[in-house]
Amino acid sequence: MEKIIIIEDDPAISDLIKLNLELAGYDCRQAYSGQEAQCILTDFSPDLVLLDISLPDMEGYELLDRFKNSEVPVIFLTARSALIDKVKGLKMGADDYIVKPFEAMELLARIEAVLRRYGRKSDRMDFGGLEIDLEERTVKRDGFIVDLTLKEYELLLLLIHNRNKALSREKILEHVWDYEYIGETRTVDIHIQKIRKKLGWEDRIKTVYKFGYRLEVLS
Amino acid sequence: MKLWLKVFWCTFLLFEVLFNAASFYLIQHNFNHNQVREVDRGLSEQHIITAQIETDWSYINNLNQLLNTTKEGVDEFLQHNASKYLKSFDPGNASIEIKNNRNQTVFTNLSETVAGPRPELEVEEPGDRKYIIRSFGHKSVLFVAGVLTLSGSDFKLTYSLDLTGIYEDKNAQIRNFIRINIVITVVLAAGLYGLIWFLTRSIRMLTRSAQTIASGRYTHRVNVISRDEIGLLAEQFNKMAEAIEEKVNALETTDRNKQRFIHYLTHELKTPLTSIIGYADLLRTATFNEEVFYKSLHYIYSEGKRLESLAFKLMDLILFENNEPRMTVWEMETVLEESVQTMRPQLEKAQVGLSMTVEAIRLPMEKDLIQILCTNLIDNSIKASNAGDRIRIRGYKTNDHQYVIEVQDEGIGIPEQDIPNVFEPFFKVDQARSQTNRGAGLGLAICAEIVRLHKGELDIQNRLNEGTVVRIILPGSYN
Repeated sequence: MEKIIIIEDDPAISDLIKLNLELAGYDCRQAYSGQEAQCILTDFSPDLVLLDISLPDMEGYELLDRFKNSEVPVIFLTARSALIDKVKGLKMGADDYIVKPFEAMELLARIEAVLRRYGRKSDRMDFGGLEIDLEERTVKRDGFIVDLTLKEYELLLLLIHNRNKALSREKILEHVWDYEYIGETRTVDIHIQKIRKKLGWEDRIKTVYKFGYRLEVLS
Repeated sequence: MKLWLKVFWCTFLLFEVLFNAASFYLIQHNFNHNQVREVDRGLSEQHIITAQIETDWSYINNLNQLLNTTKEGVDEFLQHNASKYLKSFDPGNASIEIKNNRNQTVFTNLSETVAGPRPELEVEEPGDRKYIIRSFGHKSVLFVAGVLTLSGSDFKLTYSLDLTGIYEDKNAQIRNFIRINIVITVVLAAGLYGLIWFLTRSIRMLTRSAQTIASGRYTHRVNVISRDEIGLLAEQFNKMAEAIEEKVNALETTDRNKQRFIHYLTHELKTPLTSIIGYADLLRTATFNEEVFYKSLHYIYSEGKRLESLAFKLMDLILFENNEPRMTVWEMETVLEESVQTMRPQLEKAQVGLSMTVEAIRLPMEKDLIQILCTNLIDNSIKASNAGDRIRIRGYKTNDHQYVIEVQDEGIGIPEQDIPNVFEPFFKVDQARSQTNRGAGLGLAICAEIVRLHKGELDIQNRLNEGTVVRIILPGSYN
């Protein structure tokens, strides 16, 4: 389980991020100020930092150096969408930059990408009896390779990353097929059917009425 | 053409015209004067010669009669003696010609032969004389003719005088003048050029400065130190530049404030929106979990409220900025009493006491606005206070007919360096504390706007850790 520290002064947003990250299977700690963050960091070494730029007691930029020295990736959270702020943040060594308001899926995707870039996330993943090799893009079940097409593989990963959350057909189209919703959501249904059949996950991938699908994992 | 070149050419040409005209006039005048003098001389010399010959002849004639000798006739006498009369004058330039009444030349030593008519010879009466000036190539000669009467027979004596000298004088003067004129022209041109260039340099400096300022460097000033009109212009120009600089600075400040306002507004809008959208999304997508469900609903509600209050306050600000208040006369004590009443629940919740001493006065005001003002100030004081503290409200008249409302607390106070900023929209003194109190930072901006509408002043005095005194000074003289 990757450890993430959320440094964000607004409790509502901090809690929101924590809930989403925990659903995705991350271990989270919350800090509401720079001071508090420094306290927590004495006995908590995160794999990734989510850092709000405007903290009550200091600018988020000031905390950045500390993480850079220990090679921990940092993603900035901010309400400032001005290009100059983005450039400043990235120049100072932030690994990514998310502007509020953001969607949980986007946040998770970015966290995933940054963690992989840093090699903090192993290329192998065990999930629900499946052995997934992210490097070779293979899925094994009980030691045997399950034959999945590229789109089926990507759809499976999307479901796993957003486990326990309903994904609308439109969102799935957008993320896996990389285009905006144009009314043709049958493709999604067909692919879900195929995954269910190939993995024997008829019970696990739930259909959410008039919305989409949800991969349920009981913890 | 540049001004200083125009001035140069005008001065230069005017001088040249006047100088040449005056010089030529003087030369001509001098020449005329000389000519008149020479003509006079010619006339008188002709007269003298005529008289001399007549006297001499009458003497010789008398002597001949006395001695009874007849030696020579008139013609012979003249032929033999005429040239002698010239000796006492100017033999080089003067000559005479004598003709008898049949127009035959009796004697002549004229150097030039006159061809053509001789109008000067048409003299009839003795004592009558005529003259003419003739040119022979380079020479100018004066001819003076008069009647010479010898022994009853008339002769005509023409006295000629060479005037070439005065003509040559005139030409020499003209040549001389041209030489002088060339020298003067050169010196004058150089002198004028330099002088005018020097005198107009302040205009050029002013022009350069104007260009500099026009190109956007509003801090630039003209550096002209002279007491003439240009200096005065430069002074006025500097005043204008100063006014422009002030205006530009004011505009820039307004612009910066607007930028900051938008910056904060975005932040204030985005933060609750992120929560509301995020929790709503979580609720509709995640598997039901009672704890998460209520927590999410709580945040959606409270963040929605936060947005609502922000929206109302923004609308207030916009309304105040655009509307003239409708003033009606109210008793200040009642208005303040009502404001305090609406704040009672918050006071009790924060366990903060409140005391009020208000001097009665009836003032024209927009009652609702004054109540918003008071509740905002009390609200601020509650946020700054700790449990058990006391807020004091005082209302009193001053000696100079103003009315002061004072709200004093015993709270945390405001750091000195932040006081100038507290009226800025979205400014929060203590970020960490404000987060827990959930203010948008618009309260004092609204207060300042209300006071401005009532043509009053808002003054904040403060000792950090000893509390804050906010003083509203209303003009009370119109009661």
